[in-house]
Amino acid sequence: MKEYALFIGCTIATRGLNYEVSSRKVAEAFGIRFADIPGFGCCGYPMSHVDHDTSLSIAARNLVQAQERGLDVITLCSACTGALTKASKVLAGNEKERNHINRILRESGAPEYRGKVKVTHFTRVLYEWIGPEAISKRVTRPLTGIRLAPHHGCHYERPAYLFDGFDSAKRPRSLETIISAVGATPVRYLNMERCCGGDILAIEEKTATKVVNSKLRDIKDVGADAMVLHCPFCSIMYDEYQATIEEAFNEVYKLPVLYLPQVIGLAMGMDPKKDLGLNLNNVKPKALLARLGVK
Amino acid sequence: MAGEAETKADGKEPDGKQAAGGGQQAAEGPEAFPVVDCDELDPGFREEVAREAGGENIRRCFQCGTCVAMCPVAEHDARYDPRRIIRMVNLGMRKQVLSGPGIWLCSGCYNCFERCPQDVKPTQILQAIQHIASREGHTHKAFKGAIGLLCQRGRLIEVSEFDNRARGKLGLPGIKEDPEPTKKIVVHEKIDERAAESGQRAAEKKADEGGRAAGQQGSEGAEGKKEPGPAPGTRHPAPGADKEGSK
Repeated sequence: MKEYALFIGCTIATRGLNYEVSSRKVAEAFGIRFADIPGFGCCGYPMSHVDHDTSLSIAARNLVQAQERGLDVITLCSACTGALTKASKVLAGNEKERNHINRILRESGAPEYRGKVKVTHFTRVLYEWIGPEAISKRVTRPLTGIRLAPHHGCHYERPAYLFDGFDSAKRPRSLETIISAVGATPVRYLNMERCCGGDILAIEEKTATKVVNSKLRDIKDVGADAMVLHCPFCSIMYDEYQATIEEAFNEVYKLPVLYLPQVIGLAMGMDPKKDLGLNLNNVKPKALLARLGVK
Repeated sequence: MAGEAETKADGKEPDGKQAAGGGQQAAEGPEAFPVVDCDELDPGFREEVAREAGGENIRRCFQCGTCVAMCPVAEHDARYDPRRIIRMVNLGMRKQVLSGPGIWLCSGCYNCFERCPQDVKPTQILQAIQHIASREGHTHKAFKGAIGLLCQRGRLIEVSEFDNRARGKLGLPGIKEDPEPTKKIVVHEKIDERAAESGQRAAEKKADEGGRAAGQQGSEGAEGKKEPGPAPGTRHPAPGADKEGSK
């Protein structure tokens, strides 16, 4: 049993309950314990566009919360992963910078950060620590014949120097590996590594929707039963925004967008509603569930 | 993320009409391909960016365009072109870069970062430029909204009673907002002041737009050229050259 401090961030807490509930169930099934830390707040990512020190300090303040409990951090959101990993790596390796950030923390009334907390995305834990073989062994409802298009997103594996190159930054494969482990078929498509555009949704919505549309079209070109991802903001772009985009670009996608733990949970025979929150996905994966004989 | 800030904060923004530039210059046609005016150049600008965390490698760019080829945003929006922005910095087009809409359109995906043959680290350079722009009162309105929410709630999205009930129904623990620790950092770094300043700047600009067009630019540029900057420049100096960006 390994215990982590669960960092759910802002988006999942209100708009990604399906992701949170399915992650908790899958983690529990693999003997991973999530500790909830009341002191966690924003990860600091949004401030990376405004000020270097502010962004790092907000991230470090969160790491301090985990440090006080003697735990490493597990993340579900890729943007949180990026911001917290950056703080964790930079402050572990650079004493000068750590002292500088600690001065800001001290003057803001926060305890000192000692530079030891590690940050890992839940998918990486499933991929590296649990591993595809162990996942495969737990499959009771193989997703045979289901074509799934993986979307790794950005701050899960890029920039490579922050993530020890655990997966390729240019052509990541961890989602594909897990998709295969549950018996489904991973689908390759054009520009797989491209971003969801979520970061500029508030800056220029029109451009952001074009970015989303091109990926949905690339996936439609090869044909997939669903898209698989592991970041709440990617999900907002592809799932919540899908109907808007279909209308704006006069397209029909009807592409269900699933979180990775929902896919794993399905293959492990979990309850689609109670355990996996699949009823909360905007594009309903009804056809897919029917093919698996799940109600 | 920023998108959340927008959905919550938008509508309250007095300068929220112009979606493209966020109260900054509208970018159509010629604005996207700015003219180089030698009298306006600031030759120290690239050193200024190079001193900023993440901006260290800007001098290495040899303009190959790999960043643009990999960019999911440049493909759909002609106003965003990382190669052109880096060129403009290296030429010293300080004012156009800092006040233009382009610098806010980077989606931060790091695809260019991983492929740049010169290890320029364009993603971090864009952030470094955004940081300078913010210090000079050009914080994009989306991030002004985000700053407001961080101070008010300590998070980007409100967790209402309704949300907590929905969480409870699924067996998820409730969340209590605690803005104080995050707010203290924001206030300590004076990010909120800068954001307010940038709102003022946008309003002034709007009022000015009707009358004179060129007059105001001069004073703005002169103010911006002072390197450490006046009030907004009270930020701590970048701690050392051994930043994570130069690894």
